[in-house]
Amino acid sequence: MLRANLSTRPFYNERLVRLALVLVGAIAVALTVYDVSQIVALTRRSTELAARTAAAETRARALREQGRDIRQALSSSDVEAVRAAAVEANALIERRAFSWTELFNRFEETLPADVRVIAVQPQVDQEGRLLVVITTMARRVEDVDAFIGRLEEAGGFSGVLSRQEETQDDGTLRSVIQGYYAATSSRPSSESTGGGR
Amino acid sequence: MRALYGGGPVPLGRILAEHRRTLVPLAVVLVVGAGLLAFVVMPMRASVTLAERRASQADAALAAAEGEVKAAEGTRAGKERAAADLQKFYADVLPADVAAARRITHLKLAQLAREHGVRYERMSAIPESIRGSALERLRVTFMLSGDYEDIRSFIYDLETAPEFVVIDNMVLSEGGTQQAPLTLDLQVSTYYRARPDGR
Repeated sequence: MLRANLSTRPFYNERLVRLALVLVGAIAVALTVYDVSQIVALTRRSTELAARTAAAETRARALREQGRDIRQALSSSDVEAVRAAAVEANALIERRAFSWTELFNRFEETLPADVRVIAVQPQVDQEGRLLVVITTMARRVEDVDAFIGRLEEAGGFSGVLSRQEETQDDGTLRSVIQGYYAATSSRPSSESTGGGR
Repeated sequence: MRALYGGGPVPLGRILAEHRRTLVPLAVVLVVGAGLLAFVVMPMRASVTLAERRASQADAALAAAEGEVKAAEGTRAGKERAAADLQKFYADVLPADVAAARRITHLKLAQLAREHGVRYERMSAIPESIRGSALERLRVTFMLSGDYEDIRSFIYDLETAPEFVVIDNMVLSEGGTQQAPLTLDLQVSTYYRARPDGR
């Protein structure tokens, strides 16, 4: 049996070639569709971003001007004057809220029998702490020391020290004691808690 | 590609030539598509990335500007609130002028001392201006005498009274004898708004 193909233009597999062409065509169409969709999406996104940027910049500019206007209207000297007045008012209110009755109660709780308080002066130091200066008359230095110890033990007073002492002609000891005082918040009743003067 | 029915290889040129009418448009479409991808889509994508960065920066600048305005408004509101509180303090809490200040110190304290059986010995008052302040101060010094419990209840009523009187200092002295009353040197102050004309 003769197996040789003697044709000068032999047939080949047309279907395979057409399939390849269809595949290439599909790729070309897909690429075109992708390109077009990307161009449309990117154009839309670009427009949207440009609009958003412009709007944000315009609004930021307007807000900066608004902030500048507010700050210009608020002159720093006015703000400082109000601040200073508020600090002063608060300091006055704090001094007004200081309870002498509570302080008396504390002295009565802690005062030894041979010590008398003859003067009391509260002051506010540079750090805003309440410094109470107490002038006492006592028989002996031990009594003053006992008073200082009791003041600190009872709470409320800290850093108590006798900053000046002087023996009087009658032999009594006049002491100037100072201590930082943190009063309790509530105002106590007028009733004394006992003890002497 | 090989020929059917046992033939040799078919030249590629023959296949391409026979399908030229289809291949050329396909090639054109492919080349145009690739060109669009390389020269249009890619640069557009880079441009959009840049625009996104610019938009983020604009958003950040907007947030900063909003923060600035909020801070400025906060300062303004704080100042207005403080000013209103101060006005209320000056108008409702402090005496209006030196005359009102004198009434709540001199008159009120003398009455209070009488109510508590504390003897009113003498008084001196000095109005003072306070440097750098909108307030003036009336500083009053009293000398009172009485027994310890009366003085204590007098002090309690003074410090719980609605009038704005600050006790600055007090000095208690005993009398010469055991039965002699205590003497109280009491320094108090009250404050009022200085008149704009400075009088």
